[in-house]
Amino acid sequence: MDPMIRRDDSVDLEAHRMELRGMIRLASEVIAQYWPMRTFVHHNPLHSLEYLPFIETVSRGRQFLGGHGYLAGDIYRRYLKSGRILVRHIDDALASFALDQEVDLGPCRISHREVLRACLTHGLSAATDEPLDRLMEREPNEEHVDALAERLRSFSTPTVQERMAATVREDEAALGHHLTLSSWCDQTLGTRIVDEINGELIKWCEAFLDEGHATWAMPGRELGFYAAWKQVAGKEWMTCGIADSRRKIAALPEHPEDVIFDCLEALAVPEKFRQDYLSLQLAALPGWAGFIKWRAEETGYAWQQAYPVGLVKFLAVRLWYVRELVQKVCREELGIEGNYSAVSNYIAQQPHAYFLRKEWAAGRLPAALADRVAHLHARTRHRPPGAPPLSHEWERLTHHDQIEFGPRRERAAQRVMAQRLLTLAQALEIVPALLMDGPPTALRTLLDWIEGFPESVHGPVWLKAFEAGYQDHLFGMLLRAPVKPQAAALERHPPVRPHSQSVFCIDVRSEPFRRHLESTGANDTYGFAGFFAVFIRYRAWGKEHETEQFPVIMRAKNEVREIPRSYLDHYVSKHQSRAKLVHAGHTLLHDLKENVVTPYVMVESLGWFYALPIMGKTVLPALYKRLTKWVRRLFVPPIATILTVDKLAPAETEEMVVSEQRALIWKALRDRLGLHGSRVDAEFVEALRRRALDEEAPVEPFLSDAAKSADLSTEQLTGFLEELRRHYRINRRAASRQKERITRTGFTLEEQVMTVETALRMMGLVRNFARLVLFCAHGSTTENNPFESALDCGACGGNEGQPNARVLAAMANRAPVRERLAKRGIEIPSDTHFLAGQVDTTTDEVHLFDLEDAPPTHRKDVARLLDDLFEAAQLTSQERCTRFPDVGVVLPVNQASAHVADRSADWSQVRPEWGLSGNTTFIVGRRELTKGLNLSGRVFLHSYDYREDPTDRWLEVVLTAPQVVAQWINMEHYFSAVDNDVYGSGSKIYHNVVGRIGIMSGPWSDLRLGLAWQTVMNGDLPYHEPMRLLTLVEASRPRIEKLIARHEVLQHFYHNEWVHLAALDPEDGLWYRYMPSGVWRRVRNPSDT
Amino acid sequence: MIKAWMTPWLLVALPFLGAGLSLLLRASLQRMKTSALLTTIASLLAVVGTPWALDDTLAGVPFLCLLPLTAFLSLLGQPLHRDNTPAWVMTLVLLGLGLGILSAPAPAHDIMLLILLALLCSLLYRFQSGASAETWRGLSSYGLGLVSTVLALMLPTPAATVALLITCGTLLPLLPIHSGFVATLTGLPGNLPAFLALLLPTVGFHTLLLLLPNLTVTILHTVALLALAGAVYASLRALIQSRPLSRLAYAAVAFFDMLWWYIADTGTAPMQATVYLSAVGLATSGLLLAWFAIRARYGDIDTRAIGGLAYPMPRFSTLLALLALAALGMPPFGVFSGFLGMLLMPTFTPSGPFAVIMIVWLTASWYYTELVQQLVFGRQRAAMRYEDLRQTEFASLVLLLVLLLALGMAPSHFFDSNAPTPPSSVAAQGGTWIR
Repeated sequence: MDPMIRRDDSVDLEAHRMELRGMIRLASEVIAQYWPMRTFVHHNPLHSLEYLPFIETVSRGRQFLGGHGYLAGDIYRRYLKSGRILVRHIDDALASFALDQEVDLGPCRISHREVLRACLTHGLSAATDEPLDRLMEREPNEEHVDALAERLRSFSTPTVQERMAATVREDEAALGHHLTLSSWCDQTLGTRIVDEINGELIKWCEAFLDEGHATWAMPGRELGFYAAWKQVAGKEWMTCGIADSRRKIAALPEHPEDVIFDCLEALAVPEKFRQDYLSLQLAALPGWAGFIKWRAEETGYAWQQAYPVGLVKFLAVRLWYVRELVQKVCREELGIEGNYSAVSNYIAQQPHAYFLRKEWAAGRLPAALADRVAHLHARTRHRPPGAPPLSHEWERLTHHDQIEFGPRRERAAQRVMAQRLLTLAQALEIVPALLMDGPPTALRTLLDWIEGFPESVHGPVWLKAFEAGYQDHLFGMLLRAPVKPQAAALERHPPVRPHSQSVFCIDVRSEPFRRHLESTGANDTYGFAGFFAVFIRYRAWGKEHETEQFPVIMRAKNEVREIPRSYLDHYVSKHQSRAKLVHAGHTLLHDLKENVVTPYVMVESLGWFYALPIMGKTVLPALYKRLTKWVRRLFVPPIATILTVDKLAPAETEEMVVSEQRALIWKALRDRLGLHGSRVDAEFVEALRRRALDEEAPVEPFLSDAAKSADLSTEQLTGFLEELRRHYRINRRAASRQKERITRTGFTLEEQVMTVETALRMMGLVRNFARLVLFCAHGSTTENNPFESALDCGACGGNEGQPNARVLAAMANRAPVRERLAKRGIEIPSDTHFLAGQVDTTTDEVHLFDLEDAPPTHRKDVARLLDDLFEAAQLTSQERCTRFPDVGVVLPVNQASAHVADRSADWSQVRPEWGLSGNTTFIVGRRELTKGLNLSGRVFLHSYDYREDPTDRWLEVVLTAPQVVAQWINMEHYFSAVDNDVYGSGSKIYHNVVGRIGIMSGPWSDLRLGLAWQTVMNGDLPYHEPMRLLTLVEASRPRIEKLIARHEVLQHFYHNEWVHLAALDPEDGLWYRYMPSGVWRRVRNPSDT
Repeated sequence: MIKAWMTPWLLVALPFLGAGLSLLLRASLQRMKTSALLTTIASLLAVVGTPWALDDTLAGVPFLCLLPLTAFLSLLGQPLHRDNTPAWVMTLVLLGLGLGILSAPAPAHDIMLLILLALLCSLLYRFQSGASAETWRGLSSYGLGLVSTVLALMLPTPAATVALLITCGTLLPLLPIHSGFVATLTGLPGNLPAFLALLLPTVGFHTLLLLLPNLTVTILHTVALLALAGAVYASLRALIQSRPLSRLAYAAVAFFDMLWWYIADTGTAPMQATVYLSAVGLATSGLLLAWFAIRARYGDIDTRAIGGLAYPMPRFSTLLALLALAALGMPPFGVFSGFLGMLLMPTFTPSGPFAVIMIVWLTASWYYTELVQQLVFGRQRAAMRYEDLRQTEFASLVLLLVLLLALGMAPSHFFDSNAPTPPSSVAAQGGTWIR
């Protein structure tokens, strides 16, 4: 072959592959990234589609994932019955649907709007399957139903032929676009191809993506997902019953893109449908595909570097199974090729067979007919090759269906219509007799209106009405609040200095705690994203891995380590050796449990020891927890630590590295060569160090002489130097890495000033500092909870926020930082001390850190703050207990504290905290707006003082970062509540941890997305009322408009109706709602309506 | 004072009178049903009140009581619908015939057996749906039973025994003449299948007890072979059925064939066999009634069209699961204790075919569990209006479960005192039968 042509071919092929990768990137928009559970991130499961309007995205979610975007109509009707939804809100929401039409029924005039309202309130348009041969007693109203149904006899209902034609039309349009070929086979032939393929993919993903959970790892993972699958699956005897699967897998191309091409070609999916087709394939397992999507984007992730995976590889494997199984089923069951055109032809040419098979597979045929279809289906399967397709028999059967069951179906349909009309009469409070006497045209119009407003379009109306109810309530509270916005200059008196100022995370769980802390005394509180603007990678003392203490959408360049305080140096080695011993014990136990042989012996010999923890955790969880904690502290007492906040200067770094290298060489000389004491001098060590670092340089004469004097031969010296480079890592590369690491550690003075200034200015805390300012992070303590990180701080990447609080407090306490801040206009009094603390959101206990650093003059202040925090914790526990369904009453404070402690330690507790659920609103403004209001722990509170932000810089940050996090949390809860099966993770009872990355339901499922049933539901009704986030901002409208115009994310939020926005304009002190069209509309006091 | 000879006629007459009364009250469905229920209670009281007159019958009083009780329970849960009324009347008629057969001596016994078979034929013919092959096979089976009974009346003893054995095989289903039983359970309307699931095997078993002493080793060998093949066949058929009625019918055939095999293998029919027979019949009745509750609500529906009933119909789902457990032979219900009791009899020695029987027994765990899974678990259909069991339906299923529990847990002397006298087995007649 001409080399030029070959090169052109390969260039062409590469271009095709790139094009395919681009298509897959677009196709993957329907699935969201899935973060591993150790850093659980609340996010919108349809996040990638936020550029579309909310309603459209919901329907895309329905198309690809099969998820509902709204609660079921019955649940909304229950809310209506309870008064949570008001009829006037329904009327408002219906405005865009209602036509200006009316129907006269006797003396009554019925408007279109009334019918639509009745559809919502009485479930008129709910699809109902009326049984054909019901044998139950007649209900009291059935006489009316029968009589009215008799009147409706002239109303035609679709015959079997008409239904068949409609099905054929719809399915031809959906094939490839909404419906994959594998799903088509399942729907038409009753096969379970999709389940089978999912099962295979789950098996391979589970094995490949394992992150140290499996005792035996999948072989060949370093080759990447596709190659590893090819290697291992190629050894299976017969994959999914695919004949000759070994040979077929072995013959697959090297590049996964080529497999995808081949499969799409073999399936003959038209070009225009390919992206949707790939989306549908990914959406079949959104959990695993979502995790792969996340991992492929995290190129620096250690597991991804070691075992690369991507959606292209995933799809290559999936499509191979699809191609083979569709081909097999279509040939065996229908005698046709398993591709798009053959299937389309079959639908068009064999409509009777297709329709009856589909109805049979869906269980929609009466049992007697189902048997006959099954029989004919079996005959079709077993007919000899080339034999005619029994079209006449299928046609006869369709005819038989119409003859035997058609009239019964018609009667059933007329009964459904009659029932709807009678329910309408009941809803509109008109006598049923009017329906009996009403003209058929009027009845037909009413039925058309009902049918034209099916339940599937009710969702947006219900949601608007549902949201309006809550928003009215909230605005009512805010409008009643006495505080009005006022300019800083107008404040006549200097403000009174509070006892303390505490900064909490914006998290909704902070709201009750803040409210109660404020109620205990002159304690001011502020809200700020829980990472306190401190972007750090943090390594705790004694831990091997770093945690990323910042929102997952951002990056950090600074590292902070926790080290023991210098006065404890003598104690560190003892602590370390004990900790190592404990660790070794744990490892030994784990290894014994995981080994192939030892568990048999383990169970017999040590099994009964486990009875103690089982009994303890089950019967007396809190006591058991205290006991184990006490034992642990007894054996390995905690050690006081400090964080490495300051960054070293380059010279200091250099000196530190050199010093460490010298110490290592001393150790190596002693360990390897037995040289110590007087035989080694500092010059010799330094010469060795220089030589180890610079391999190319000529050997210094001094080094040779010193070696000789130490009785070392040239070979021994060379060998020793090699050992220093290899084993002791004294080489240029390691030194450079070490320097880089040290350089990353801590913050420069300028960085510290910037960090503290950013935090204080954003929250509006720039004057009137109290003697104590507390940065209070949050964390949680739970047992047997794979998603414990979901309860920790989302702004800290799903970790506890205490390192961030400690770092910020340490920075703010530094004199040089304060000096610079003073120059920038933030004067922190010398008697102000910053403290770091952390509230445990499960027990409500607050722990303060680094109290050693508090000046002696502040002891009484600290003691008073601790008392207030304790009281606030008790009150918060008391309030939280009233929300637990198993408590539901106001407990005495001590009992409430004990109860929440018990829940936190209880390993069978499915709701150890239940704090985040219920979130609704994000308020950006001064605390004065909401102070004293009971917001029931449903509101994110971000402190912001528009008077301190003349350039809108801080508001811009708040709206584009914390608001995004709040929206993700809100949407995660929203979708988990409206369709827990698809967007949530089902019941916690069935959760199983897989691969240390996520959870499955039972032993074999997709990675479960979203939140558990118990997190968002309370019995039949949602505990989390699914509503879109409402953002309230205290700032002038033009400034907000400017920011919206500048940021696409804000346009998506507000114009696409993902987030509702309202502003309290300081100019006139009125609330305005921002409409999707971009105009502002004044918010009226709900009590006026 | 009622004379002993009058008792069978009294037991026949009461339900017949009740049936007549029900027909007179057909204008009001409620009254008609009440009348039918009262008739079954009266029959029960008659059975309980005349034990002195029944002490020479082969059917013990506790087991005889099961017939009016089952008739009562099968009627109790029936909704008041015009289409169900023929079944109510026929239940009473068949109850009368059943009690008559079980309590009357020959030749009245044989004549009533003839009437029963003729009635079954006419019922199958009357209620055949779409002239299905199953109905015709059922008619042939009962037709054969009819002819056999007539022949038994006319022929001398050895031939009459064989002829009557064939009749037994049509009532207590035995391959290859089980089709009548299957057609009855799948094709008759209302509560009739649920009642006949107990009545027909009881009548067949009772007749078999009469014949057992006269059966030769060859006949017993042949029956054992047929029973073994029948148990395997019916079990496989039950596995592949998609419709619940067919599955339940074949499952019952498999379990009754196991009983046939035991009787033929050991040549005995101990009291435990009666417990087993009654328990299998009751469990089948219960499952049929449970399915009828669904059929009454949604028509003759495909099981794929319904599922996830655990949540919207918790009472139904719980009872269905318990009945299935009872039917597949889990303790403490009667099927388990009856079967275990038979196996623990000294006359029984495990043999090669017993392994097959055990596999058949275990297969029941598969198809019964699958049926429960299909109905109880999975995703419920949003478009369906679900309605859990009504009080009467609930009561009838609970009482059936209580009966099954009683059969499983009652001390054996409770049955012993009234148990049928086991006929002397062929094992006792000839040493060749003792293994």
